[in-house]
Amino acid sequence: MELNEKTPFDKLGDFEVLRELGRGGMGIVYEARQVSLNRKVALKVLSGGLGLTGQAVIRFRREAAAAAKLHHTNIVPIYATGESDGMHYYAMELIEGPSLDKVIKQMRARQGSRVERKDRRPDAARRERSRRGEVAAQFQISNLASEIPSAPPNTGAGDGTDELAATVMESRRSTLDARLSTASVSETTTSLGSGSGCFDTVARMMAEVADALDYAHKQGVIHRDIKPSNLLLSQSTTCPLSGGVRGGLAGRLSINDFGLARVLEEPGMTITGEFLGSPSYMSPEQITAGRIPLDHRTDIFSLGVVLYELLTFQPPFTGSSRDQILAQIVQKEPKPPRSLNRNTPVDLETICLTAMEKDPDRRYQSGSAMAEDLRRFVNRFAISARRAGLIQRTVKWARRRPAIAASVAVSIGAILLAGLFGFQAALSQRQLKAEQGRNAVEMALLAAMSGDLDATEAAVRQAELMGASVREVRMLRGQIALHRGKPEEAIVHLQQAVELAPNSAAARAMLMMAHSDAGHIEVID
Amino acid sequence: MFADLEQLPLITPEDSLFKGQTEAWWDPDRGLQTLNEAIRLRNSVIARTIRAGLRANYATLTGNPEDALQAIADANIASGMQPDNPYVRAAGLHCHTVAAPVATELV
Repeated sequence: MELNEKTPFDKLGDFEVLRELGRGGMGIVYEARQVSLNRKVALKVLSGGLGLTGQAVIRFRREAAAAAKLHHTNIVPIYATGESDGMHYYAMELIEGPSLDKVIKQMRARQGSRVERKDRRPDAARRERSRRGEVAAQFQISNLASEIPSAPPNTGAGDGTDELAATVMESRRSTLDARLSTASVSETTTSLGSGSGCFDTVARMMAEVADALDYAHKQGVIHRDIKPSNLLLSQSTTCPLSGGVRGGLAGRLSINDFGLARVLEEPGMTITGEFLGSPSYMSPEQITAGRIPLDHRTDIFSLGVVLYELLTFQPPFTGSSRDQILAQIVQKEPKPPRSLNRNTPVDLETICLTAMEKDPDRRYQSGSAMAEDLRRFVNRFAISARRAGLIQRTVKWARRRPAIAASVAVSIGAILLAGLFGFQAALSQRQLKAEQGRNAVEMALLAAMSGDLDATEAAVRQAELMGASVREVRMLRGQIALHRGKPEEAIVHLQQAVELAPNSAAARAMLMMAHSDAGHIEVID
Repeated sequence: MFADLEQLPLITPEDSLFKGQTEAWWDPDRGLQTLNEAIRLRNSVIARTIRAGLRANYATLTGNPEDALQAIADANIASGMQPDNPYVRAAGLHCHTVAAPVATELV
């Protein structure tokens, strides 16, 4: 694709326009030179197509002015705002580096191609793994970062002009291809996940971004459009990460377009009512604007989504249409990162999912809290976020897979019902048997009192068969002896019954009767 | 021995039945109360038969025909439950035998 670098004007205020870098929904980004300070800048000129009302322009200036006051290492500074010939613009630092979405895209493509190569040459891949050892497998994002800078400098196109970055990249494809072909990225260094250094680096960089968010939030500025294309990866020779972590993500992530989303009439929407940019990173409260008050925690959610994508190379919410994605963000729980990349550390997954909680009250309540946990992860301390409990996880799982959850619930219900019926049946059976046993003992007693010896013996045997206890049998034998006029024999049996059940009033009372019959007790009227 | 029996808890219907039977030796009122509890817990042939006998004896003590009639009622119920049992029939006979003079005194 041929890049159109011609510009419709040479100068805007203090800025000399050099070339067009990108074009998006909100405007066009140019590489420009600030004449008074003789420095290169990225100049974003707001598109007339936005149909900015006078009020929106005033708000844009106010927000841009607020954003310009933000001074943080990880925030792309806004140098100036202005208007010339009816065109509104703002100038910001020109970052030499790709946006994070390009990096992720490249990582994803590489992983895909690696899998494909492995599929074709399984034996070779196995030999390679064996030779180098699994531990060596890391993703060298630094290599990618060093390759992609041939993309245009910061386009400042987080509002949609990131597509233009791709356009620009097209124009430099040959250069990039040449770099890629010569890049020494080995097969074993292109899989995310096995090396802990990679996760540490991701956590460190996300912590820096979270810190920057926290700083901005404390200044009363909410970004509202945090997404990979708004995070610019700059090459920094002074960055301690570049050399410190073997194969790690090097450079510095800077947040672009701070606070400018508020230019729009509605959060996340254009004046015409259409959603701006990719909806994948919007928080549920942004989508259901009005129902849940929007505050700084919307940025925490979006940053959680970015972290999710860095861990899995996949967006957490996907769909064939924008509406599907938006519906998923509001209703569906994301798959746990570990289910997509089993090497993801549990704590990092917990941090990611905590940031992505649908209820803002359950998220990290500030950027600093998230940053703190990310650092605790890096330093191998226990993180403050807690994994969802069993019930919470079950509810989330059910939200993710409602059909399966429903069938499982029905199955469990059926099992419980069957169990209940079974228990009741068993209980009834047991009660019936106990009743039969009592009846048998009673019949035996009655037979003993009747003096029918044969019937008594048969009844005692029946009582034993029906589960009469040894004590009950002894009591029966005692009764039989009593009614046969053999109180001494009765005493022996009943004494045994008392010993077997010292607390049985029935046994002791019968023993008293036997002693009375034997003349050991005299009852005086 | 009776002191030991007094301290034991009455858990099963049989506990109340046989304890009531022994209590009635020296305290018929109390013995009958305990037997009432035994029948409340389990309305058995033996319990009805034993109470019928004790009520008949009690009627001879009180001379109250009402007590004699209650004894006969218990005997009849037991007989209805086990019509051919010799022990039950003997108890019924005893009740009627005891009740007759009491009733005669009433007349």
